[in-house]
Amino acid sequence: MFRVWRLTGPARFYDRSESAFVYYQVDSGDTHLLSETVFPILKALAEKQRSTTELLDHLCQSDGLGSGVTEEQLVQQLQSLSAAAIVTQD
Amino acid sequence: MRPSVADLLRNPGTAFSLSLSDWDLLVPQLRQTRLLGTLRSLLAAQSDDDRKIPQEVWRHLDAGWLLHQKQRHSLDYELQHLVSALAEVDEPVLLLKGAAYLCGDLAPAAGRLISDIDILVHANKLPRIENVLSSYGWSAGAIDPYNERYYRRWMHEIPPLGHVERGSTLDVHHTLLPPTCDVAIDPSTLWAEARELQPGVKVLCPVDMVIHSAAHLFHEGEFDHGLRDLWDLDCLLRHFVKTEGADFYPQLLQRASDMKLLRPLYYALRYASSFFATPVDLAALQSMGLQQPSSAQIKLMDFLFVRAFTPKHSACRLSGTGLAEFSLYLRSHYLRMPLRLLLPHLIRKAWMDCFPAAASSKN
Amino acid sequence: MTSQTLASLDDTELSRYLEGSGLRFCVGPYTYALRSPLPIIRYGLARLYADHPLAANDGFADFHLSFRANGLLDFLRGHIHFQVDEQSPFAAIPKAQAYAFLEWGMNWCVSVTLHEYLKLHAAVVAKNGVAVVLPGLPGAGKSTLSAALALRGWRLLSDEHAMLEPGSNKLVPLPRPVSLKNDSIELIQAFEPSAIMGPVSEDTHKGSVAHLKADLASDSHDLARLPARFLVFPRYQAGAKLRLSPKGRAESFMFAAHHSFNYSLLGESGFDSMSRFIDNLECFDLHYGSIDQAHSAMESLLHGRYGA
Repeated sequence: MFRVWRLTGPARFYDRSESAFVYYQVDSGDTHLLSETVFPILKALAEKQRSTTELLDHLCQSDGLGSGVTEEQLVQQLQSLSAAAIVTQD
Repeated sequence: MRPSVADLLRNPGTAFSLSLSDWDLLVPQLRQTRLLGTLRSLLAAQSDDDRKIPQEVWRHLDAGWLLHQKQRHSLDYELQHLVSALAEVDEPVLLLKGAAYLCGDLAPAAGRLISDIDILVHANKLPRIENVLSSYGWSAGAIDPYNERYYRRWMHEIPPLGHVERGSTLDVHHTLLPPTCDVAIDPSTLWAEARELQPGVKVLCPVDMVIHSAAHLFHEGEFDHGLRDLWDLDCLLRHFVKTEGADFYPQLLQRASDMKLLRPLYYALRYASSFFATPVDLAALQSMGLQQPSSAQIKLMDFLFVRAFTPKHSACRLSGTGLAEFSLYLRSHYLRMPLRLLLPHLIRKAWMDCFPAAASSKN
Repeated sequence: MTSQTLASLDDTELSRYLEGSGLRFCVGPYTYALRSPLPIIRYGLARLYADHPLAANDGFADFHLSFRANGLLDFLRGHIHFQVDEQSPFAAIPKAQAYAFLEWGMNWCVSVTLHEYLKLHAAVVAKNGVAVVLPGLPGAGKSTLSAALALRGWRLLSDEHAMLEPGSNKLVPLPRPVSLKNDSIELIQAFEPSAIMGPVSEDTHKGSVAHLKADLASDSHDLARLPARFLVFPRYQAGAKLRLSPKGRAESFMFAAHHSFNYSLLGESGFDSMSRFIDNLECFDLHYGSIDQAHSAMESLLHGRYGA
């Protein structure tokens, strides 16, 4: 089965290249303070929904923050984002 | 004569010629009756460069409007969760009252505030529905055992559910009025006629919606936003007579008669037309079977309800308001229960108000 | 501005308004209409609101407040009800606490009823036309610090509400007395013996509460908006060494959002306003162990920025 990750809903970012950024969920009105390590993941999912493999490829091709991430780390991060109802898997 | 809130809603154009001292009396009344946002939406359609509301007044109206928009937004979000939750037990979300108006974008929706989400569910599914709602975070929390028993035995709804994270309140009804009321509401006919708004979300059909609104209002014991609820009725009646055509009133009467709810419907039509000039031909409806109470009864009810629908403010307060409020409180309980049940309940309630700790420890 | 202030009323006139049609006075952009039979309220107002402009008696008041005994029970218990718009949303309070309750109630009105500004829970002080926003958890010392600054030549824009014009970094002044609790009352009295304090309310839910007259600058009641330049999170700890350290913008955003009265109500536009606001600010944590330390740190903040 080919499962894809997506954001739980439309979102806004307040990012000033610090160790943390603000993530605002438009539907729920919730505001989160998140670590910069998940920023590239959420930006990538804000563009379009992706499977874990696609997401990993996308992050490794970029030369930014997410380029060194391993699959294990990525899955862990996605799971904790999922637990916080920020991303979900279809 | 000072303008009243009802006059203002009926003729919003008059707002543009009000003085600041008129507004000084009206804004507190509008806030109390929860109609700031409603007036704001009526005026927004009419104002232009030559017709403006003073800025210091407008910001109060606008605050009501902003709160309404926030509630509307939150309602959409809650609904997503509610639809998924009830889908697990194959139950659609049937919205009642304010949530139905907002979600269906019905006539009273513009600027209207809601305090909770009311839904109707099938009584035979109630235990499964409560389970699934609980797994989605809606729970009744700590509730006094007497109140719990009271709800379960005598009420048309279960104790209100609060969401653990989001704090939203859900009122789950299994019929429209307490089963002890002397009425004949068959929930299966409500379900049969209900209309779908979007996948998984329904509302009552127009006649049922009006009857529910009327029955709810005229069985109430507290009228904190009575005027707003009467305004809902005015808006619904004006709206449905347009969308449903000439059959609307005959169907409304037939349905109310089937449910033994002609009396509250009569009051709804009488007071909506007297406060808001709702275009209703009461005489014609009487010839079609709408019974008018005796003239003595009408006099008494006029005394009570005119006071209930007048905002609690010194600018418009009528003498006898305290007495009217107390009488309506007793009336609402009397309508709800036979006297042999009512007296012990009211005594119990009074006792618990005075000695809350002692009363609950005995359970 | 040459409008009449509350100080122009003598005691008899003041009681006539308070016990009659209501005393109408301005606080920043808002007008309050207040009725009260209580001498302690009259005394407190005369002391703390002397320089507030009076408003027209036949005009529009944003908030209608009154103290009223509701029936025999209140009378027998020496209690009184605080009413807003002629309703009693709160339980009865002992008369001796009425003054603290008035100040609390005046804040409550601003917090819950109007949303034309993004409202943060913060004190605001200004010097040389530059505003500094001081958010703070209870006990962090924002009120004590802003009281001390007001007594040392800073202008106090607000004790409780930083009111931000949406989409800008402009703050709307809402000058009110500063609320001081418990030890802070004596601390400020010792810091400035000439400080004017209102009635002390003992045993409120916050302990002892007294208010300081803080509209001491010549432009205290000027209505013009002021640009905010700094967001400083004060934290008082007895004996702590002074530390003024830069704070992340995202972290500051989050704190300000959580301590806002209407950020959540404003939805996405609240997010936009907060983003614009935080972008225009430099954010700092200020840890301090004494008022004098904190005062000099605040001065250096302005001077560091403007090189004066």
